[in-house]
Amino acid sequence: MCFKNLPVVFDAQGRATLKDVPDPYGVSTAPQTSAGPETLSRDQIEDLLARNGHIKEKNFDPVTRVAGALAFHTVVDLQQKKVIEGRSVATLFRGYEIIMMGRDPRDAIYITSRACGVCGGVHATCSALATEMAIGVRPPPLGIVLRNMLLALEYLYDNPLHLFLLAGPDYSESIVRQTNPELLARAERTLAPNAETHGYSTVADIMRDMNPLTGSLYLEALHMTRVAREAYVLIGGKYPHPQTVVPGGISATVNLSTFSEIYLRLQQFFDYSKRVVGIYDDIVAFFYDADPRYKDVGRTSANLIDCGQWDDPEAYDATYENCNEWGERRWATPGVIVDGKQVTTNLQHLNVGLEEFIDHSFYEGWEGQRFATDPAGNPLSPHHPWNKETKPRPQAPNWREKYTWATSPRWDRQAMDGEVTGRIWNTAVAQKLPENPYIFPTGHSLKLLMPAGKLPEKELEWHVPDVWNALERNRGRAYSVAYTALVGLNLWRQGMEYMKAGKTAVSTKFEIPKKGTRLGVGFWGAGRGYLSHHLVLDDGVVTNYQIITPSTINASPRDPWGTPGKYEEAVMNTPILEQSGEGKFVGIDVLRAIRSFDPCMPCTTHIHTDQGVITREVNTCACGV
Amino acid sequence: MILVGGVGYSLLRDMSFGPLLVERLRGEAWPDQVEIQDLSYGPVAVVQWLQDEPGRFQRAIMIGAVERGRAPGTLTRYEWEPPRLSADEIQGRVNEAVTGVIGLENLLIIADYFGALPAQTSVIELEPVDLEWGTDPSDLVAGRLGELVRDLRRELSGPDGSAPA
Repeated sequence: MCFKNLPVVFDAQGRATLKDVPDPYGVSTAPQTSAGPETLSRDQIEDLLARNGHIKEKNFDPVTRVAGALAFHTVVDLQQKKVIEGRSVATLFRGYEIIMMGRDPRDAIYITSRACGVCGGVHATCSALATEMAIGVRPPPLGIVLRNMLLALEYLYDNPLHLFLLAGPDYSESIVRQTNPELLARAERTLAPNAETHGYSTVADIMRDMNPLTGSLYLEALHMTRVAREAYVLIGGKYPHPQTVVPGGISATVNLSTFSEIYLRLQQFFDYSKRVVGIYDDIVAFFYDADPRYKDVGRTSANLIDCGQWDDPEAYDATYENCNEWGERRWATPGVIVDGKQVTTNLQHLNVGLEEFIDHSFYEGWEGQRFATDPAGNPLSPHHPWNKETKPRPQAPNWREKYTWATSPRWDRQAMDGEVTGRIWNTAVAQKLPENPYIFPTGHSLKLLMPAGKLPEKELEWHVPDVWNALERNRGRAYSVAYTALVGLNLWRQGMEYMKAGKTAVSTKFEIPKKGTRLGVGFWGAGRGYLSHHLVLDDGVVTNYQIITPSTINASPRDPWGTPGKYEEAVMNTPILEQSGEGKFVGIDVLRAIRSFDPCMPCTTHIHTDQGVITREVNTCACGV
Repeated sequence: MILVGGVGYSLLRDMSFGPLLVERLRGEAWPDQVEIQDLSYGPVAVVQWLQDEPGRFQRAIMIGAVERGRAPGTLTRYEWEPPRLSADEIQGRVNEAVTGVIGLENLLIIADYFGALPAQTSVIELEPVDLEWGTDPSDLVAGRLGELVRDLRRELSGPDGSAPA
């Protein structure tokens, strides 16, 4: 029984049915959720602001070093050194759901890819998965391996970029000197425990090389994005919007030479990830030792959701009916973690538990419920993506009502974290990973046997953290680089085996059925974390398309019961540890909390308004709300 | 070698002036010393390509649509002079680039910062007329495309088809 709030019960055979209660999906009863930060009403906040000079509003608009347009509103108690209100504001409307209406589903691969300027390929493949489920086409094994490989390479582009270009500078010498000079002095005399692996004697040496633009870790990450990108285009044709992803596989021609070229690039990540993990282990340990209150920066309840990804070519059949079985054969196990405990690895449970609310978002509600059950007969909420309608309603932001373009996805009515560490956490505790020579889930950790390169073979071990916070998100992302490189190695070996066996087909022919209603869902992942595309086809055209990205989940506003989204919760739990002098307050602790999620707002994409097409981000000041 | 590079997103009518121009230029023969490139694949990736062979290009002409509030359809040419930007501002440009922003100015600033631009770099900007989606430019800008192709032909090809000294 994985649900404690949804009105769904399971019989002895595991079949789900709806509880016989009036208005089963009504929102009048508050769900049981993890204990969150104390939230004050808007009246209380305004009263405090009016009566206390030490309570100030601090707006981050835009939040820099994130992808796209995000603003964040806080109210800070400068005496108590704490944040008493946090509001996450997505300042752009994405609109892909509307653009997709009435189109041939094959268009979705190319259109939804443009949802992101970093990870377009993950949307392309997720869309292909949703389409092939809807129309019933199963790719050949090598086609599955190749798109798995595309995903791994995209992660190897994305994660280093975040670790050293976007979040990394928060821990660099230049920022720490400005915000906490006492920490820098301590870092100068703190020996780095992993010096043998990464080559830095002290933590301050690491911080210096994390300096933006000039630090060698920053520049090396830029270089590694090239290495990953070069490997990616060998299959995808181009980056970040591949040309070869199709329902039923891949449209590229590959040969042994392609595999050799990919390996030459993939193997560069083996040593790189040993160093990245060593660096982040040392950074995390340093901050914890320097001041244990850093464990509270960005702290949230440990509720994480991930769809899993990298399909088993022999198990994946593109059907919803069998998705629980093929899902658990993935190279990353799907799952949901609530308060640190895994409650399911079952993709149908994951899907049935999803709801998306718009009470504090710039959208209108919708009437009715087209689908009472999923294709397997499990009950669906009227708020489920297959039932959702996207009805944008631009308006002035109002903290009491609607204040963002992000929606509030919830699982079992609880706010979740869709961040990348959910991938290794679920995999580590589920212990369902296919047998392989490199990755070993232990139930409480994930052991990663990194092959020798210039550095010797090394076993890395990621442990389920005791506390879930900003530093652990970054550490998890560092281990995800190593994990992804090893998944890539497993995929490479799999692909070579199929090539040797002469199983070289990479796609399956298909036709779009012109009659009937069909449902599909792509369960996949972005470099940043969770990703799903839900699709409804009627007589061969798209009549509903819903995308939930990691940042849709993480950037969500409050839900119908007032529970904050994860950025909001993380910021409200964050103590202000910054020591900047009067008038020089940067808000680094708040920014570390937000950036640790690797926010990717609907960015740099072509958004249509009545006044034309926006091709760059537009930040709408939320200060005057 | 002379690099002629177009920069911009596809399918944005006038804002796609750079890629549209490259398409036109590639349909014609140019002297061996002239390399036509669509540089719309991300500023950081372009910089890395330029860094592969430092000094390969002695000159560059970089072309794209930029909204600056000039009369619609105006073509502006100038020699590249890096704006005075703080390290934070340059870092901001790199962040935009790696998260997906493709633009002429971004490319120039980032390439300049990393020392990847040819010593002599000219910039040609078009002030767009039409900001809608679409495959074709507005009529006025279509005319500008033709004019610019002729101008570049005069500038880059000598009477015998070779590049002028």
